[in-house]
Amino acid sequence: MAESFELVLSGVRKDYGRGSTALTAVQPLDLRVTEESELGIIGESGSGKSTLSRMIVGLEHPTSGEIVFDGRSVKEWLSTRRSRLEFRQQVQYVAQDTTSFDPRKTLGEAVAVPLRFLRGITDRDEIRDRLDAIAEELALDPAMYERLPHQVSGGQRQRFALARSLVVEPRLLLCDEVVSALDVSVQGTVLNLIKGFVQRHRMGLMFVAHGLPAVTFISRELLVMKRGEVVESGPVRDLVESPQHPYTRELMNAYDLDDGRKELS
Amino acid sequence: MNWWRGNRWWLVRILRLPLDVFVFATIAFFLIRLLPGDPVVVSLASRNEPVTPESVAALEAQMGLDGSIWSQLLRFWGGMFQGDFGASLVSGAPVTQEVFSRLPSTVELILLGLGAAFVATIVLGFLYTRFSNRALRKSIQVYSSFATTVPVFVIAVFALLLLYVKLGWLPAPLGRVSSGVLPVVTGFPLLDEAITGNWRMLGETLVRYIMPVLAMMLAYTPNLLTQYLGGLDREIAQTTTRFQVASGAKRGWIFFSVFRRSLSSVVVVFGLFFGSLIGGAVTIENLFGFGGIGQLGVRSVESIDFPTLQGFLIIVVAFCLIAMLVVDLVNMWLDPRRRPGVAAEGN
Amino acid sequence: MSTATRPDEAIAVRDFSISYRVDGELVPAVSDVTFSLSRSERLAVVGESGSGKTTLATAIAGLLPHGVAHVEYADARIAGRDVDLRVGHRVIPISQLGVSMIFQDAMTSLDPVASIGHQFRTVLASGERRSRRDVRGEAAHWIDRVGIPRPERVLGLRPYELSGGMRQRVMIALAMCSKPAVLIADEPTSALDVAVSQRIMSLILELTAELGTAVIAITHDIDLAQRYLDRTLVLHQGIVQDFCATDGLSAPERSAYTRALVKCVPRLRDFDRTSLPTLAATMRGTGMGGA
Repeated sequence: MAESFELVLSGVRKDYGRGSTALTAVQPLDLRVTEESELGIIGESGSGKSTLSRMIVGLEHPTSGEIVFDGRSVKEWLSTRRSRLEFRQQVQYVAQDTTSFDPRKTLGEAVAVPLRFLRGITDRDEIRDRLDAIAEELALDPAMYERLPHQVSGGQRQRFALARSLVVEPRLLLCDEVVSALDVSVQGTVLNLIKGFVQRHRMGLMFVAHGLPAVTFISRELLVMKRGEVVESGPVRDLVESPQHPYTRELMNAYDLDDGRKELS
Repeated sequence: MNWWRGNRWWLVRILRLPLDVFVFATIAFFLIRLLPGDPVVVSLASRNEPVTPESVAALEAQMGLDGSIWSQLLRFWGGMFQGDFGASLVSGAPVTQEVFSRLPSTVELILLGLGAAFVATIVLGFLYTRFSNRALRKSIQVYSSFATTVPVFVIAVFALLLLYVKLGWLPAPLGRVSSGVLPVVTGFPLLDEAITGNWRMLGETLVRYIMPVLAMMLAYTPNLLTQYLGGLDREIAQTTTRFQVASGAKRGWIFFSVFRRSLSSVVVVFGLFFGSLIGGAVTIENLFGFGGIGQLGVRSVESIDFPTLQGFLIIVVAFCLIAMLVVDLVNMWLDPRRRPGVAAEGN
Repeated sequence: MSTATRPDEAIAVRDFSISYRVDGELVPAVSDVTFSLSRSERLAVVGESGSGKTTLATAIAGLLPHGVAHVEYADARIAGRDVDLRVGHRVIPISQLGVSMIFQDAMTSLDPVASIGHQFRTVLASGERRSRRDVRGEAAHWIDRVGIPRPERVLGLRPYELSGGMRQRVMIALAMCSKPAVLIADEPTSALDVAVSQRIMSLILELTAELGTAVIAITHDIDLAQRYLDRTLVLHQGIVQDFCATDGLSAPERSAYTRALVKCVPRLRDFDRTSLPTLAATMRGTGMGGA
């Protein structure tokens, strides 16, 4: 069970470029996330949602404003090697790109890497145990640990990427478009597993995507972003049933469909 | 203003060239002086001249090695800007004259050899794409796998043995012409022979070029071909080609598009090649008795002709830099996305 | 050419099978697929990864890689005429007349180095000899037709100088300018946001309706089928599960697989659920003693 934590964003803003080509990817925003959060961030491409999640894990730095995790700013966390490793163990980031696996290493070796580096676990038996445990939680056959990344399907690879992040028992998990590339029929499996895991281990979850139904299922709260701005936020039920902002309404309408009914003829 | 922006890519590259040459020359200056041993003493000894303070001082001055290193550098720069690299210790003629009177002949040979290799590459690449005959394609691939394995002089010797010694089809390797002195206008033998209307010599030179150019073509084509075949395989499998087929584009245009897209990897190798080509040309010149900078280089090393070596090095490198610049420009012209300042994604 | 006996038919295949040669053995990718479409119909070919849907589409477009695949069929007709869909032996495949295909990513589909005008010319100038001005005018007309402003200017641009949306539209225009009988769209909206998807799909439907082109959209997203396409072909491991009107995808006559697939599409109203239906669980449920 993960310990409690607090992630606070104050006035976080991200600009790119200079002069005539300057672009504000994220307008100043405030946010508070704890281990209880199941926050979904929805927006189209260019909405700034990915930039935001990258800033939280320190892959990018805000132009202004502060991101504070457990009382220390992200910049501070990343300043020394030791604190950096600790930060990375506690805040894990899983993206859509599953070509992040070394094609010459087995999946088992890949999932064991963070155990070695972020948790300092080197005992072979303990690694084996933890790998088996996480495989079970994510409904993966441990025999597949012997396989190479290209030998498993896309959905399975995505689950191994999740395993790699979750095996170190982080306190906060950030998922960025993790189901978007999967077959619609496989998305349900992965979403169920993430939701179950996060709830069982009492982890904070931030789920970023552009596909609305996946996000609304897995989140309790929703943040709607458009062109770098948060246009609406609140509990999922409220936003789905009575969206206030016209953009939110537009999004909800685009997805609301009865089984088998066509929109355009 | 717009014209500047649109053409900035090649203008800047061209303007940078003299700067590149200048920087390299300065580095060469220091490198040469870092070599162990005392070139003055060795040079005197190799010519069996007495090593006395006077002869040493005199030779030092001649070689430009007198005074502090910084005064040497200043004199070197000064000389460079005036195009003066000193005089050859062997012939007494200015180094620039020695080099530039021979360089064009070597370049002519290189261009012919490289040109032949390029044409061979294009032709083989075309056959590879146009015909699906497995034996044909396989043999083209096997040929390309000989890249960098067989040195050009080995092939040249074989050619000599076969075509001259055994079959007697081609004349002896005794220079570009059987008798007489080559006319000099531009320095390029073939060109000069044509300009002065010396048809006998032109014919003879062309015939005597057959073996060396053939050797170069056989030796250098595999390198270019490996790149080209790799590019072709990749581009044919690309969505771009599939879309062109699927949208009903005319087949000739599809081929052209595939070739153009595959060509840039060949052009890059071209530029990298140039340096080693000059080395290969030196051997070929020696083997076939052609006059060129190869001769000059060997002579200067044997007699430790310091100024000539220095000038030789710098001029040859400048030449290679120009060749690479041309290659770069051709590549950027072929594919506008390689031009600096162009974003890869739509802007 | 023989006269078409079915003037409205765009495509018809019967017992269409494709296998791949893997390590000396023939592995089936698509088995005995049979379907037909009229010129005004839109078909979704739906299935998971590995179901054979992409192989099927690639084969119809004539793009199967040579030497590896093996095709058999009882009948194959495009625009009422018998066609040869067997795998060619050319290194660069020969275009299948009457069929055009667009791909998921417009950036990799367009020739990165050639101008848009040139790319149109390669398609439009085949056939009878035409003046440059004629071809240019027609290209400009197509660019305008897909909703891109200042077509004359676009003709001189290269793909990397266009925005993503414009590239998509240019790709559609290039595919349609040969006025094919069938347009195949490979995962047309997988990489797009819902708003952009809507615009692109309505453009495709508009253009194809105007020119009498049948549409075959390959997708793993049943939602796409339900919104835009009137018929659906469901493939599972290369075998046709159902070929029916999209409206009737949840009807009880459908195969267990099809019904399970429909159930698993994440829907907005799922936000209340504790867990989403999965394919395996749903099939296990319906497999037990009937619906």
